[in-house]
Amino acid sequence: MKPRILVVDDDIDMAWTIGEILTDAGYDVVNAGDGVQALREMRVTPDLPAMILLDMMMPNMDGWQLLAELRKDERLVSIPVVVMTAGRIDEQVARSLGGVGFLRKPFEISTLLETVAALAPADASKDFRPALSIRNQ
Amino acid sequence: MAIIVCQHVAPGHTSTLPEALATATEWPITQARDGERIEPDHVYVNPADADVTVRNATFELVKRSSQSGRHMPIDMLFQSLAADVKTRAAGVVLSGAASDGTEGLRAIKLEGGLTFAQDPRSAQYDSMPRHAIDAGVADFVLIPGQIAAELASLARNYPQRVMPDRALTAWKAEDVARVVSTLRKATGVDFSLYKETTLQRRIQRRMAVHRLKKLSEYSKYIGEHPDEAKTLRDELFIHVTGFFRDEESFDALGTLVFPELIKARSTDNPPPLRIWVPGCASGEEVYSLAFSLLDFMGDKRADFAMQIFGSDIAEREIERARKAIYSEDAIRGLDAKWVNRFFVRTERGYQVSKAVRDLCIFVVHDVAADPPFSKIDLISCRNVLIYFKPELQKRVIPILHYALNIPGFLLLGRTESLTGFGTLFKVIDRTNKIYTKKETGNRVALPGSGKPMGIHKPEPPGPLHRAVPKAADSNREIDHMLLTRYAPASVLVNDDLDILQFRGRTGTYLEPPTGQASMNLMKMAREGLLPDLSKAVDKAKRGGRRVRKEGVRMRTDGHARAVNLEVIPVHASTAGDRHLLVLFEDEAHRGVGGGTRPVTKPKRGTRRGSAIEQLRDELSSTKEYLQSVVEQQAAMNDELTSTNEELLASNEELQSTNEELETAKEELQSSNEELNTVNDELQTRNQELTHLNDDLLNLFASVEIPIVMLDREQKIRRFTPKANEVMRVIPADLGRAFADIKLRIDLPELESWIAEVMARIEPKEMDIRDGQGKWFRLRIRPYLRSAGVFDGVVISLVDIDNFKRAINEASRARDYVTTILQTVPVPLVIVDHELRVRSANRRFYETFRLEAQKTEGAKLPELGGGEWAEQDLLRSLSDVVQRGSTLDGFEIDRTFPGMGQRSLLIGARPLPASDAGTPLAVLTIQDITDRKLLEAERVRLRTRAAQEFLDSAVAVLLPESMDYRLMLEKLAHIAISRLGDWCIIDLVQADGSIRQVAAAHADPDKEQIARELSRKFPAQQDLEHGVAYVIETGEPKIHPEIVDVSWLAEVLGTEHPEFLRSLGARSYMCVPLRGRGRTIGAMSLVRALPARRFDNADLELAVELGQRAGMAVENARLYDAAQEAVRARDEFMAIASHELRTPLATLKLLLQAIQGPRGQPEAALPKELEPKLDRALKQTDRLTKLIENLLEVSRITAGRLTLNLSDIDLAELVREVVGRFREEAASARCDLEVSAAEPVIGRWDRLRIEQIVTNLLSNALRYAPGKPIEIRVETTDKLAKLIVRDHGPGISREQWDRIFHRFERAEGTKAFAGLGLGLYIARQIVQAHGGRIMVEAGDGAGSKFVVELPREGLSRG
Repeated sequence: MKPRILVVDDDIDMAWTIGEILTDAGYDVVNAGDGVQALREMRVTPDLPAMILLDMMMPNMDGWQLLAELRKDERLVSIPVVVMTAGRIDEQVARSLGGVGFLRKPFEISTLLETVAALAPADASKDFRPALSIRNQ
Repeated sequence: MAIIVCQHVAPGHTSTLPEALATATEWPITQARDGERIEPDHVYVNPADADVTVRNATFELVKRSSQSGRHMPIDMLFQSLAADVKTRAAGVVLSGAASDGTEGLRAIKLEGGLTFAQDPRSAQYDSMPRHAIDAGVADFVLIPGQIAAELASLARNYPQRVMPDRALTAWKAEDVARVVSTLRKATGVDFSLYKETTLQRRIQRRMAVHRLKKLSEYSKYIGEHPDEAKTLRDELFIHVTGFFRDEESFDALGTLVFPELIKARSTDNPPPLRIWVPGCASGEEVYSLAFSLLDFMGDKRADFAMQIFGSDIAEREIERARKAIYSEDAIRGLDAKWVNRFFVRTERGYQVSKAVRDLCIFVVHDVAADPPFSKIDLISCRNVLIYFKPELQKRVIPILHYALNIPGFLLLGRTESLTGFGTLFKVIDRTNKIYTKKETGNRVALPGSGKPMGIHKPEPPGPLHRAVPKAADSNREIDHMLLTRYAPASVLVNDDLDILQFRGRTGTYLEPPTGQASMNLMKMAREGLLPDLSKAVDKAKRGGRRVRKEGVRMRTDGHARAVNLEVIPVHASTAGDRHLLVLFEDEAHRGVGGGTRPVTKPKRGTRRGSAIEQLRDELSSTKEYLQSVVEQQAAMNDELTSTNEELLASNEELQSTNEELETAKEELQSSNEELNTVNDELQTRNQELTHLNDDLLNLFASVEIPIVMLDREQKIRRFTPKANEVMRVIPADLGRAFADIKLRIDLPELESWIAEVMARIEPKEMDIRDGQGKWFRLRIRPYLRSAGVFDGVVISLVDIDNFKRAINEASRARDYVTTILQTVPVPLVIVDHELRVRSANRRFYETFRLEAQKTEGAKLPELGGGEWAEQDLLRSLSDVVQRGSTLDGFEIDRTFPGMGQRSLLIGARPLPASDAGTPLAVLTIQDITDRKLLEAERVRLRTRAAQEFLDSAVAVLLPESMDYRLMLEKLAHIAISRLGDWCIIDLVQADGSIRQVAAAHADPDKEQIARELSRKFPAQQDLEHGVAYVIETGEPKIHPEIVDVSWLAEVLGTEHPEFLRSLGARSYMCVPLRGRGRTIGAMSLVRALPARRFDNADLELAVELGQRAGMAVENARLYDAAQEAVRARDEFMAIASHELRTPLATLKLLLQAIQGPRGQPEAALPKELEPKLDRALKQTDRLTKLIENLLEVSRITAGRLTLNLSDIDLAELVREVVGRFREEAASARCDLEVSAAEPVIGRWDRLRIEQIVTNLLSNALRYAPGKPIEIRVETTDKLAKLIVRDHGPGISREQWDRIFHRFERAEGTKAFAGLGLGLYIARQIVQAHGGRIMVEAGDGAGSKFVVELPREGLSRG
């Protein structure tokens, strides 16, 4: 069973790219466009994600609000959240809000993989395969 | 009779005249219509839009023409009327402006009609009637009522006035003749030779004027009234004349005549050009000729002299011609060129210029009677002959012929001609009637020689040939018949043997001679007749007896015949003239007639012998005759020679006599002049004397002083009426001795005083008192004639009692005033018109330490040390003294000896002039030095307090200036600390509305009320003290005294005056808050208590405060705006960098995903893609960096740079960063030499420090490629030092500081990419750590960056 990662980002390209990379790295990736979608997703599904990659600036419900919601939900409060931001907040702020990891955009693909791997070890059997290889093997 | 009323009406104007007239007449009144026949007993008025003329008793309306010249409807009507009905016309000129009507009346008068003018005194506008009267065309000058009466009487008396031609036949010749003879007697002019129609018409007119119905009555009237004869004569001579009458004639003169005349004068010494205008009337014709001639001559006019004679029988006309002043009407038709050139405008009209007048000579002259002018070149005799009967014409025309030169020209009127005078004149222009003189040998009988032709001087009346009775005529006819049948042929000759009359058939004996035509008997005698005839004539002449010669042989047409001659002297009627009657008888004829002697022929022997005998006889008689002729001739010659000599001598004599006479005349004239002058002078003197006498009498009567004049014998010569009262002198006393008069005052010495004055010839004067103690002044003066001769005395006695009393009164008053002046504690000075001190009071001398003796009489500026010499003061004082003005509060500051610097307030008032009329002024002097000092001190204190207040206000305002609302609250409180008890401040809002933003009250409890005044804006703008007004105009307003609180409510725009009442309001002012040149609000200040009102000093202070507060508000507003701008920028930067970073992150991830994980050869990309992908990633990194920097800067400027401090090892950090640069350094071919062995621990922000190192290294690599770079970490006690040294081009010293600023790079490095933010950020970070960063020159080339960081970290954390 692949660990499930919830990527919450309103930037579709970003979400797609991360999804591709993590899928290739052997994760099950679920996307949500904003906090509301993410909450709905998590409250509907019986399989909670192993972790959440959370963008902060989003419409409807932004990262901060989602973090607050998560903390209020017993079922969800234990899910580790890695905060991704292009904004002003720094790591300390992110952690104080309940985030366990911090990724300042832009970040290295290796940093991403390391951060995710640290919180949700991927299926060891599955090697990292580049998702966007131009040679399909 | 019908009446036409012509009025000046404006076109389109509807006249109310018909209605107005209807009230005055019963006749129907209508407006004249074109083509309407004029009905009797009818009144017509003129329509407004057309002019009325009359033709054939029918109206012809002429549309009024708007163009040329002046509009003269009355003249038009009159002229048409005159032409139409002639004598039956009557013209009346009533009140009106300008001169319309005058020419019309003239026309009527010429045609024999009657003319009236309203008496100008009765006319509202007297110009029209006055003009007519002045022109002499009005027969009657009457007031309108009288005119009406005249017209009515005319209508009654002359219901059908006859036309002249009918009258002519109706009148009896005797009556006409009587009038003519009366005229001749009275005026010397024989009008029997003038055309009867003219005469008739004029007489008729005069009859109408005198309301005479029959000519016989008039002939009687004229006989009794000599003046009437003159008037008639003058009227007979009214000629129609004008300038350039029949202008074509003048043109013809210019082409035909003038060139000829001038050609004839193109010789040396040309004779003068002479022109004669007989019957010239008022001279227009003469001047017209002069104008056209001068015009024709142009510049040649100086070539010869010119004379133009104008002659007329009427003296009055000649007088007018000489003056040559013509009315505007007269020259109206004249071309402007003539007017401009030859006329001068005068008061009375236009006068012909002197140059022209000098050419023209006017004389009173009767062309028919007086000797003519001679050697005339041109005669213009136009429209003169038409007035003459043919007889007179026949006489005058030869005279004109005689007068002319050769060549000579005659100009006649259009209707005149010289029919029957073809021998004298030749036509050269038939249309213009120009004739030229023909040369003839015949002498012309001239007036003054031979039979009198005109009667120049009044003569006793003689029977006119018309008046010869008819019976005499028949006798004469019979005589004539018998004579022609039975009397022998005869001729009547005069003394010169010129034949005067032929009787019977003389052709047998006489024949016209060959050669020049002659009527001389001797020349006409037929062959053979001459010897006997001449002898007989000679004999008869000498003997004075009848001489008869018989059997004279002669030949007639080749037939010999014998003739008897008889010469009988006849005495002609006029004395002295001897005529001879020569009778011719045929022998045969005689025989038939039964002569006394038989024919001798048969008695004389043989036919041959008798022939010889006869020839011999003839010869001897011829000889005899010749001899006598020769003798006669010789005697005659002698006689002629001597006569000639005598004549020459007497001529000389006459000439000298003439000269003497001329001289004598000159002398007489001059002495006459002198006499006139003397006479004038005397008259003037006389008048003066009369005046003087009158003056004197009046003076005496009006002088209220008793004066008596005595002559040398002390007798009374003259006295004034007043003397009667005082001295009891009455008119009867004139001539009486003065001593005999009993005076009212007893003065026994008077006589001796008079004697004294007479002896010394010096006046004497003394004041005396009468019995009642009244004062008189007696004055005795010598009476001196104008040459200084003494002739008696003048005694006057003036009552001076009041005067004396007044003097006493005045001196008392003066003492009184002087005493007061002296005791007044204010310095007073009295000065005269020269500003000389007349007097001064004691106080003055004391105050100014002056001495009275030196001061009085001295001039003000000379007093003391000249302290009073202040120009303005002296001028003002002079004004006071001389003009009676007053002077108040004139201030001078001077240093006075012994007093020091003093300020004086000087006032002055004029004093009424006193002795000798010198005007004076009194000066008051007030020492205000102390008062001024006090005042100055007060002002100084007040100013200082105000300044301190302002300073304190500003001091309070400044720290608050970031929030102006708060600041204004404070301002309000500061304001009431000094200015008033409460204050509100209003500001203009961005939308232009006004809002209260602050309020303060000295009583904190009431402050809330002040804040919550419900105020409505805009308050009334037009209210002068309103807040809105102050804001609008920027003018401060002060209202020291508030009487009505509701007024202030209006001013402040509140609807709750009761609030104001609770706040208290006694005094109010409002000042603008001004910042940067505009009014941004207003501060209203109110005093609640009556203790003190606002004054101008308060207002000034408030204005000052408002000024400063306004500035502070404006600054605060600006600051806010700037802050907002910075905030917006940072916001933007943050958002922008965030937004940029998101896509960058995606891009980077994607690129790395393509690259694949390192060290996985099976997933490696084709070799050729690797470097490209590398570059793409590098650029991504660079972009990331740039964005990072921007974000950093915005963070720094926003003051949000926060440090995450932790204990770190700088050396380790450096080594790590350098490790990251290895690859890059290699590609830049730079050796990195690191000396950071020892750990350097400090509490710093790791990431930030990394940032600095990274920045410095990447700079070094970028600016100094291919050169080694040294990186060192050093340490001291307190500092950690990082040194990065390169060997690049280096940075000049001037730029060392600049490069650390935002967006700056070292000069010469523009070629390198980057925003120039790196060093700025580095410095900000270092400074945030409490350290510093600097650049130094490296050894040799290159730069050396030194970063110093405190090892302890920041004390404040």
